[in-house]
Amino acid sequence: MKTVAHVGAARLGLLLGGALSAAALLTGAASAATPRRPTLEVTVIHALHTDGGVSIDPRLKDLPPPVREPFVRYNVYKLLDTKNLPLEAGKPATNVLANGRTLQVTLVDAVADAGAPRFHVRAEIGEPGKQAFLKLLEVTASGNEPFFVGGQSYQGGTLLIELVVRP
Amino acid sequence: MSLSREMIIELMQLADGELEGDALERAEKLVASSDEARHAVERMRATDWGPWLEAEMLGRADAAGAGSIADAVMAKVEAATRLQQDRVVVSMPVGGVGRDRTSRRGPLVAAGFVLVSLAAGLALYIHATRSPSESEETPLASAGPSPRVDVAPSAVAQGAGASGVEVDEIDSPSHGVSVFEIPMGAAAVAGAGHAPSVVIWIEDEPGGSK
Repeated sequence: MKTVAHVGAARLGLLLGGALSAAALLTGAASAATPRRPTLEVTVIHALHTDGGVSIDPRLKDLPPPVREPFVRYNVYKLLDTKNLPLEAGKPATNVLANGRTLQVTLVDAVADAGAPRFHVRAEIGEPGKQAFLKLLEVTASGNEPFFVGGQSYQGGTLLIELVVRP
Repeated sequence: MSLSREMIIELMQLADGELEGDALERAEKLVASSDEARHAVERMRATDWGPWLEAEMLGRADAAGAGSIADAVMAKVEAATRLQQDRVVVSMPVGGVGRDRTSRRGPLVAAGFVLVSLAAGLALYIHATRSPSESEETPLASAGPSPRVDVAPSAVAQGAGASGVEVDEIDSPSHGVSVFEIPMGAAAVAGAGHAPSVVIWIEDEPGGSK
């Protein structure tokens, strides 16, 4: 036989359950409405030309075989640094390179193209008190499409920077 | 004209008072016996004896048949001088001496033009006959040290659809810039089927950084 107290507890349980479910639904909806912020993956590579054979750090998965220009100029590729920088439109993301110069990348805009967004980014490489090495580079790429900026002299070789926008 | 060269010299010495002894006596006799010698001495003692002496010497040259040669030479020299003066006067208002130089370099300019034309033709021929594999190894766009590189549409590495990396603009003062298209992923080995990427290569001066 149910008492008044039993009935009250059951109703309270139902109310609490409903409230929790509603809260969970609202949270889910909110997270779905807020798009994930893209990040910029910056990989700094030291490329060298030596008398030995080809040696490529296995972590450099996007690096093509050094059989074409300009990669054919070097036979040793070492991973120096990898960073993930948050990309927000109009706000520059900064990374200090191994040679002391500063890489600054800004997301200009992201345009949806056939469902997949294309990211328009602006990059600069400079050094305080000196003329900019790279004053301006504007590139548009899809997510997970790497591109490279190379040529900076570094310890007998060159610095190669791989940039990938991760959606 | 009967006075010899030696006589004239002696009369000049007489006029200057430089003669003595037999030479003086001989000269005085000559002046006394010859009106021409007397006139000569008078002119020599006067201030304007130069024209007489000049006429006297030229007369001797004419007598020797040298006058026509000298006149011809002088006429040529004067004509050449006049021509040069005229040329400078005419060319200066237009373009100064440079215009005259240009006209003299006409054949040189024509030869240079022919050489440039030949070089351009050769470059076009090499470009037209180059194999596709060679072009794959060269950058899509390249520029020397310049303030700004506006990348041509050919410098866009495009794969199927909208994929591919597009380089819109590069500005690297004082550095040479090249853009290379590179196959990515499996395409790097197989040679097809994957969106290509790009390498933006900026020439750094040796020791340009740490």
